[in-house]
Amino acid sequence: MLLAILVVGIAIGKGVQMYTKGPVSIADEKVDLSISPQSLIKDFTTDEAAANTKYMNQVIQVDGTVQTVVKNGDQYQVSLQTGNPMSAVTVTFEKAQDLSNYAPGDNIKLKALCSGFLMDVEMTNGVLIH
Amino acid sequence: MKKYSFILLALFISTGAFAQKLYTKAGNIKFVSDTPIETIEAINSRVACVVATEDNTMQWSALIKSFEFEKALMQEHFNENYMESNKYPKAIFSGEISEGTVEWGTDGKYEVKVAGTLEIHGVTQDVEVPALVMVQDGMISTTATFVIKPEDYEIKIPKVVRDNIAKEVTISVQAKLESL
Repeated sequence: MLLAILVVGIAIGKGVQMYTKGPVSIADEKVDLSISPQSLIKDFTTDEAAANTKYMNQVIQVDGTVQTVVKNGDQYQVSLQTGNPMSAVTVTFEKAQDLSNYAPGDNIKLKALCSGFLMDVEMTNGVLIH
Repeated sequence: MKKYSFILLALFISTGAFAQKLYTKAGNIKFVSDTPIETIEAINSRVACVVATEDNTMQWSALIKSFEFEKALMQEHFNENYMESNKYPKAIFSGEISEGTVEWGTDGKYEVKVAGTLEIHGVTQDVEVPALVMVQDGMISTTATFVIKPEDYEIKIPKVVRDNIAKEVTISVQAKLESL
């Protein structure tokens, strides 16, 4: 009887823990592929549907040059230069990530998840790679 | 000659002020589903918008995967089960100001209606929503709040969580626009 109560209790606890778990971090996730901001923009502007299939749900490493750094609420958003003045690769970083030391022109190495393409290629869950 | 130059300059400036394209890549959309069981909120702060002031047309686009939830499981269910964001990655509104006028070059608060089509989850519906456009010192911002029904966009909610998700979801949109 005690064992049954214990098992049910653990199951409920696990369920509550799963349900209330905060946003997922990719800090410990392995990188699936690496690409430059220029190649990422080129792929999305050439064939958006194919690029969506290729890049969505992947942990992508991007090495590039900072175009802008903006703090939106409690998250940093960094746009990377692509050579196209109208289209950047913009990464919204995880809340724990501090990019206060980054400025336009700095080199940056990061990993993030690709959400797709609007005016920019948009990435979320950004984490710096040191 | 000086007089004509002045008139030409004034015309150029006024044309520039009234016939321009405004845009943002960083608009905000928040949605709230409120039921007695729970309140679910998500925010997307990377919404793109382009407004053509010469004919008051506009397009808004949002990536579904850019909505952030407080709880990871909600975000996963939203993308995988309800919105099928791999298959339908964007929500798009295309429309124009259908009621009221905006003096884009004159400070003021303009209450208007915006009508057009809203595509979510691969389904397109006609919509008309109230919006507020604010012009102040050359800065233009806009807000709108409206309600949609998930069932209108063929978003299927499993029976087991049907009471957790509102039949009508409130959408709030906010953007600061700049010249393209």
